[in-house]
Amino acid sequence: MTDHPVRSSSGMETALEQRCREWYEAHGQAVYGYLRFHLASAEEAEDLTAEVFLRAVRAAGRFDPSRGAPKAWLLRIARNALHDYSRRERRRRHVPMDGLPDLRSDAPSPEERLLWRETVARLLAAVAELGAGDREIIGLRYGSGLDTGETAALLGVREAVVRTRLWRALGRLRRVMET
Amino acid sequence: MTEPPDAENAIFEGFLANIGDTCRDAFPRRSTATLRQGRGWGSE
Repeated sequence: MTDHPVRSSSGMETALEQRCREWYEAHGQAVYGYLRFHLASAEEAEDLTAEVFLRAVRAAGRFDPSRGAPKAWLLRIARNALHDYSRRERRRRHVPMDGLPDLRSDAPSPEERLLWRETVARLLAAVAELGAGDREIIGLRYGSGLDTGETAALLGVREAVVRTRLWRALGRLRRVMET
Repeated sequence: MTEPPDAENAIFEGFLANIGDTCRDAFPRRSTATLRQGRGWGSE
């Protein structure tokens, strides 16, 4: 793809950078949510999201829209980045239970907002206790917000397989949360 | 009466979807200019 510099609100940027900026605005949340379901802190998820889009800029010339939507392509990059990160870190995942200050809540009272943050922290800690396959499917479906069809396409399996795996993963997650 | 496991999973699924929304809403959208400066966006 030709990569001519173009004028944008933030100055000169190449066509590839412009395309990645549009992807960041459209799909940054999905990538971040997926990573947030796998990582102990908002900071780690934030940094790795930045790394995903950095990788995307570098690889954008190879993106082939006939092989899938940008969101799925970005989540593939996110999965690889997460895999590399986990190998680098090799430390046990731990979600602090003292609340997650990054989470906003519409709950009316401070007590309810605190309760909700603790609920989310408990859930993320429980996800961290699951096996890799369960974490992966839950992160894609609920962290990034993909539907079961998109999840199936990304994993290269039939939608029915996703539904079954998801249902089993949910059962295991519930049991972890109950203990 | 105890709810069957499938019904419990369905309720739990709604709860998880809500938590996913909360996490995505917390996405700290940085300007891409910041990404460019901080992480070498577009440097290669």
